[in-house]
Amino acid sequence: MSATQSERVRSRAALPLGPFGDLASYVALFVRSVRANFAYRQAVLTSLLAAGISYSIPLLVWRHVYAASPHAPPIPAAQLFAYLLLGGCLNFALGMSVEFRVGQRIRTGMIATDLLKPIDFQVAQLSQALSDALFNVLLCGPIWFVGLVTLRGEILPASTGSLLASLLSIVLAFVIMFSISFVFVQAAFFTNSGYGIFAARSALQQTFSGLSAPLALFPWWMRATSEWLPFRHTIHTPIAIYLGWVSGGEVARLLALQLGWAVLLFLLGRVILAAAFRRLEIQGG
Amino acid sequence: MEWIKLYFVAYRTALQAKLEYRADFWVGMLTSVLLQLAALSFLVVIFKNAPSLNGWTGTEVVFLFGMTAAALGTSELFFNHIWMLPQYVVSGELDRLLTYPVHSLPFFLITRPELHSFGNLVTGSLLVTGSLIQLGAPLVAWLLVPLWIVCGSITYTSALVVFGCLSFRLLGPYSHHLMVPHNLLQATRYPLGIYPGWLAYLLVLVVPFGAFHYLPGGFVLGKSLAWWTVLAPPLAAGWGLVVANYVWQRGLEFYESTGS
Amino acid sequence: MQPALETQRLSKTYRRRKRQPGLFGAVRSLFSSESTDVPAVRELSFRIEPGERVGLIGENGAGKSTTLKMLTGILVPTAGTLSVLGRTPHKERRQLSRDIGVVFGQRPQLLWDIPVRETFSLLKTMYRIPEAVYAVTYHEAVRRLELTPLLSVPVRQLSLGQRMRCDLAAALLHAPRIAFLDEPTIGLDVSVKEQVREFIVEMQARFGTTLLITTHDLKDITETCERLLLLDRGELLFDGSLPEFERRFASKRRIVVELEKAISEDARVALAAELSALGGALRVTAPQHLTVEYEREGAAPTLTQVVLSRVPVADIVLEKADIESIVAGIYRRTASPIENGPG
Repeated sequence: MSATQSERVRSRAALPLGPFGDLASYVALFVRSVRANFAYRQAVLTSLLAAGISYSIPLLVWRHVYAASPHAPPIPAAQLFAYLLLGGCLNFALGMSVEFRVGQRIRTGMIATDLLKPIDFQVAQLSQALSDALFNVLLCGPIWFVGLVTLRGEILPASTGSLLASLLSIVLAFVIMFSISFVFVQAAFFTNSGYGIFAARSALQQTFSGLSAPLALFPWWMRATSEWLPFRHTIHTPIAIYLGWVSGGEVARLLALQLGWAVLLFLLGRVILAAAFRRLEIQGG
Repeated sequence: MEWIKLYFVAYRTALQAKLEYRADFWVGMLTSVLLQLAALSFLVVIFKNAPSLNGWTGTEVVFLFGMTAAALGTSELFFNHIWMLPQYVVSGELDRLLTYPVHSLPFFLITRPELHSFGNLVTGSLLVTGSLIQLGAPLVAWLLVPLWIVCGSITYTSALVVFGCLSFRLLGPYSHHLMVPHNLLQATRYPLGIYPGWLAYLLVLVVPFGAFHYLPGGFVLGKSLAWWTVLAPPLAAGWGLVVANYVWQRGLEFYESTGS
Repeated sequence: MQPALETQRLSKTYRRRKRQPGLFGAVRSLFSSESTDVPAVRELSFRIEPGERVGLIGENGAGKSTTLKMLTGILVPTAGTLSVLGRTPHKERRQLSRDIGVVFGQRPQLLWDIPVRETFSLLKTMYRIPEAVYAVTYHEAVRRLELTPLLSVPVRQLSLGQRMRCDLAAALLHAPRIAFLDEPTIGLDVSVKEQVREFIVEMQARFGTTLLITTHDLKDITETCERLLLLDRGELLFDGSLPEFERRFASKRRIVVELEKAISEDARVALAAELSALGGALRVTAPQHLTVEYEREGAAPTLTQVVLSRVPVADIVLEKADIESIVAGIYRRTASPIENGPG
């Protein structure tokens, strides 16, 4: 790489926020990604089946707990099921291939050419992740409908206000999720194990997001830990807002917290990538 | 005897090659332990809200968790190559394997051990040991449990093979469909009695993941009097082997290589 | 004598899912599964005797690799019968595999992430290669293909050419009765190609191996083979020896004449008339250069005599098209309008 080129790359990678100017190319990237997604016909259907099994397990466990125990947990059964169903949908929708996509580019060294392209790498990845997410949301539609049939009104948003607030919260959850994955995947600079990176992130996500139970049912120490981590804002926060478990000032506080995490993690991803890339250049890798 | 030596040599060389990536070994080890802990954390949440599950105490469910993790780890340690099958089918990379004078299925399975298997195996073994000690399990349980784990890993691998063979017909390099048996195995971390009847029967008779720990565990831990359940693990493993082998052979007939 | 391999009306048809273009098409293909049949090999019948050295050529998509993969038991034929060393490959793959060696040049694939030496020793165990045979094949391969510096390198770190050499060595390690070599010199540079061919020829001579080679490089054929099969869009267009092939397809022959001095226009016209009566077409390519083109076999002596007796000749050369240009000519003539289908 010539000196001027690497100079340019460095200045781009070090920018705190990339240029959003070239919107058309991000849109094109997004469309192409959606199309590729549709082509994965059987992969989509089977991954839906697999995800369905995996999300059903906690649901069935809880169902049994409610059926068997006279001292029911502090949340009404229907509410809990609505929460788990929506949480499962949201987690599925946010489940993204950022780790694999970016990880592969890092491992193969293609990342170097990516950073030379005239579009911002992180934003480009974000737009591809958005396409993944929207495609997955489409697939979640039928599940929500099943919820509507079985749980009736419980699965509807508590009010118009909570619906709107939860939509905003979901968008922020998406950015947080993307940014967490983006930060984690930088580990690919140090290890070949793509699975390892993915699994580490998803272990934390499973434990602390409230995916398999609302935080209220956690033992105190797990609840306290999750308060300090961003993961709960990917599942618990949006769903709690949607179901109206929180209201008024609490909603605003949660949204602000989400925004804070989103910005912080997004920038963190940029900084780490820039640093890792600088290191790469010095090593001549 | 020749063939045992061959498989041993092939496996040893493959494992040796994998172990050269030392960093990956530790990453894989760490993350699989993390994933097991994540699953256990759900158990913590459940047992904070309920004293028992279908008559199984927390420790007894931990036994099921441990058995599942150990069987999973064993499968990943010895038979993990199946996860690459979809990719190989699409890229035509089975060609060479098919020209070797070996049973293609077992030879294929053992030639790519996975490093994170160690994490699952270690966690699983620790959970099983811990829970058996806590439960004061009879000696016979200690003797049978290793066998059950082997049977479980064979049963599970067989299911992976059956699902993996779908790739011979439904072209696509994705291995998502292998997550179906993987996730079904996770379902057997809980006593099957909590599930709807059809699902429990499915997990005992068709995809018999419940046969290597839930059924015989129930007898050995004194939850049921059905002594014959100790025979379930080898039966399930045998059934798995027969089906997997049949489906593999059928699948190869559909193998299209890549043309060019 | 039992043939080394024999096929009768062997056919293979691939089924391909239709893909609709565009986003809408992609959505539709979520629900429909239309597919089309693509014939790759059509009613192929041939027979190869033990020890024969046969080249299989054809354009991309002509069905060469498909044929080879059916012969090695990797693909199951759609119709027809085939037998290799008296066995049906896809049914008795494992029994057959001890007697055959296979190289896929497009995708050299020694299965493991392990050093070459260990791959070889694993193959030795796998094929139960006797010490005496191994001593010969292994050392010849290492010497001829210059593998010594590669032996301790993991396969994944080798370049394509290096991998190719190792793969060839691996395929012949057990001195198979038949060697199927699918583009064994693809992507190699000229000197390595030469090495590879020499190695093939030598191993063939030593063990009497039956050779079936597919290739795009016709030098592979001319240097290692005696017989040629030409496939075109899945059908056998020619089956015979190399000289026969040339006789059949190399229709244009040429006498190239260099004159001591330029000849007059009258002399040229007279010569042209005389030659054309004998089936030769005269052309003046430069003041002191003539060519006579003709097609009839055996016309050369008479035509040459006429030329020698009429004009002052400084030098004379008889030419016929080389195999490469013949094949190129055939491909051009039969070129299909659409380039498609698996090869």
